[in-house]
Amino acid sequence: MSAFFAQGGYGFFVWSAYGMAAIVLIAEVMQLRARQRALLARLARLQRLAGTASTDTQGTLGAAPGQRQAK
Amino acid sequence: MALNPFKFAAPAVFYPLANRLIPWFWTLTGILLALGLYWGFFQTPDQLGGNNAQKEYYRIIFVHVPAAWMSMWLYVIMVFWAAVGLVFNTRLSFMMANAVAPTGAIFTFLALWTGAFWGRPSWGTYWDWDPRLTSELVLFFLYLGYLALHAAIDDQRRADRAAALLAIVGLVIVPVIYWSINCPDPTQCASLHQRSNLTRIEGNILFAMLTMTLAFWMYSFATSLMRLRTLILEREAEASWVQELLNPRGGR
Repeated sequence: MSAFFAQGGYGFFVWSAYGMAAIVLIAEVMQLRARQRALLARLARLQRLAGTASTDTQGTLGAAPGQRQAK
Repeated sequence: MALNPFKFAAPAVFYPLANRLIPWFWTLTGILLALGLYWGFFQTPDQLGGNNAQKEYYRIIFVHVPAAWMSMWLYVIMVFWAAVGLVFNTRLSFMMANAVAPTGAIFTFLALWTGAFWGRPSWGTYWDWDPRLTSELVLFFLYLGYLALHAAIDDQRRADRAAALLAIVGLVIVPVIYWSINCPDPTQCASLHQRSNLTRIEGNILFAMLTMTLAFWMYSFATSLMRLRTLILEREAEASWVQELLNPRGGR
């Protein structure tokens, strides 16, 4: 096992290359997922607000999405 | 039934298609990555290290070469969609060019980074202003320039067109990268970088390298489609099909 991590004494170079590849590729996927989720949440909230604006003049329904809004 | 090639050019039609394809591309990415990494690390001890001329750091090839290939192929794909967008004025084509660019930039960065960590043990330096390395760095800046220019223009259509033009002009760097090491007369090549010759690579190493290349292709499809899906929703937020998608029952 330690021989695997040592890579014949070149472990630093091998794992620096593979480590950065893993970090960058995983970060890209996580960023894409977060962006899609945030967008869907924003669009759903906009639609709720648009829907309640006409029927809910008291603003009782509109308050809930506002409180749930992230950020 | 006649197949209409422009049918899938409509964002409303393409969005559900992308949603269906993404899990398949992720599955293939996972299988190919596992196979490529296993083969690269555990089926090559006889070829790498010990008394062999190639030491263990040669395993960087399994990310370096596929990443470098992807950096060039994705640029060509980006230019293709940018050109289609300019000629046919189709919204989805520009979005496709836009969806590919960040993944291409990431692979260009990875090619440079992994190359640096291969160069240090084999050449004795992380970086050299050699033709191959320098032209690849220019490609990285072209990706960043494309993304920055697109982000800098508020008007979506003008941003699409301006960035597409920049991408097309930048295509000139791709043959430069290719011939920076593959020039016809080897003695005329100033490159420190090795020439690429697939027939001289040992079978197990080649198999792992090509498997990783396929894995990166599948990864690129998956991430590009994920980004495209988000871009479509962002730009079509006002469209009725998006409203129905968000609220299929038509109001709650």
